[in-house]
Amino acid sequence: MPVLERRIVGFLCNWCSYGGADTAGVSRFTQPTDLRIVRLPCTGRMNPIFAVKALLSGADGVLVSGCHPNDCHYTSGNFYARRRLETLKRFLPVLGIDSARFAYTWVSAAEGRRWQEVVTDFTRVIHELPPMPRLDDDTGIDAFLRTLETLPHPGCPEHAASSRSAAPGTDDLRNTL
Amino acid sequence: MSTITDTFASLLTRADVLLGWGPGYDPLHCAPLFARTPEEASRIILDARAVQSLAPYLPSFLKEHPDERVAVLARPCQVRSITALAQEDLIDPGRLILVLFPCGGRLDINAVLKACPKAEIVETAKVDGGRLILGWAHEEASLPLEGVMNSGCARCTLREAADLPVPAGCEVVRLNLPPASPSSSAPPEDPLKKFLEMAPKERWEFWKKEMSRCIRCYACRDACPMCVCRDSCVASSRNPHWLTEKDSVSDKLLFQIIHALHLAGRCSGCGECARACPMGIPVGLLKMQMNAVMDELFEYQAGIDPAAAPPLLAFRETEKNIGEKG
Repeated sequence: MPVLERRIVGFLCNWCSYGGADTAGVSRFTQPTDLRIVRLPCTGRMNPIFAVKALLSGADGVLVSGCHPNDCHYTSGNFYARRRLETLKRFLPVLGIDSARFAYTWVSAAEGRRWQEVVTDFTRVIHELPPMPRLDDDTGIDAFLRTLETLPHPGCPEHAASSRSAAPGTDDLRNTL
Repeated sequence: MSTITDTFASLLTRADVLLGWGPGYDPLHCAPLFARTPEEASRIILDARAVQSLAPYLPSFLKEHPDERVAVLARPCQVRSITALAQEDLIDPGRLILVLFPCGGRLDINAVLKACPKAEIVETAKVDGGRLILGWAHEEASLPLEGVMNSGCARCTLREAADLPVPAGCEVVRLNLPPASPSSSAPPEDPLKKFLEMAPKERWEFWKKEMSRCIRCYACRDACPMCVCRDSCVASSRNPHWLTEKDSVSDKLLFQIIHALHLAGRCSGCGECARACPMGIPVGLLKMQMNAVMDELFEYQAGIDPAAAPPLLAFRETEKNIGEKG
């Protein structure tokens, strides 16, 4: 009986998990082939809209992976990401989307074996769920992945002041101390 | 004893404009009123018919009138929105005078029209002793306010707002009015709790069906106090082209999800998005879920503590309610 593939989109940090996936590949660790990887400069770049758009475009699962807490290449990107991603995960049920379809984890560049486990486990979870229900008029996951390739730098002039005040060393310091 | 009119007149000596509610296109509806003279201020309406939040006008008004001081009438939920805006430096509280009054809750105009279809062509309307009295040439109808109250107001615990902190630098004036009478009936059931009792598949189908009615007017966004992006909104962005111009459920649902995600840790739950929706889509449910998540993860309610950092603009090395997931 043929094993039907599901479509999983992975958003991986350039500095760790992307390398970890590479390590897994170079070490020839067998992995499920359902995952399509998008490389991010940092999980701090992970806008929850990427995950939501992927799911609404028909992806069966979204996996985000970055550097272990305290190991961020930019010091604090994954700390901001952790809050955002957990928020998204807990928000999904109100839409009727199983929160198991969205997962985030931390894998370093050296952890090829761990990457194999993460992908295998997440793929198993997704295969246990029914396929993501399609919205009759969605644009499709391939079109979405093409959109991501041409993504410009984000930013909103109306928020310029608030993003300044949120610069590392001000708010985050206040909160960590 | 000074009357409300005197108070408004004295406010206008210290502020350039008094933002309140004035008569709308019929006696049942109010419209935002920017009063610059005591005569204009005398038209202000301060009862349950004043339903709009005036907070959405502040960021752009203060930006476009950089030398003016603004006095703004605010209900407690709207004070929370104003505090949340100040927390993010989107308004300068030093140029604001908050005018507080005992809030007896807001009408749900749709509920009024449902209870009394003839209210479409009402000739007079007033709120008196817990009842809404509608009048026509030869008849009168009296509806108990509790039956036609905004469901969010019926559950609200902030009506007095006596202890609600305000942003630093912001002047506060309290109107000398009798306190609002507390609601005697039991608060209605939490709509989010009821909604989450549905099976996930039913919820998905619910949103599919509701979103198919959306006309993409973006009234929900324009009525939202925290939606300050205006022309830079992601919904009108061409590059990246997150939303197409198609009349498709995926685009409409994606916008609602974006709106809720952008309100994480910012939404005061004023319910303006749902009130403004001309199609009656319960988009407020998504924000209620987001607020529940913020409470669960960060024990945070937007606009309550002016000194707090909004949760998604900050972090802790070890989060209290999030495991490391390592």
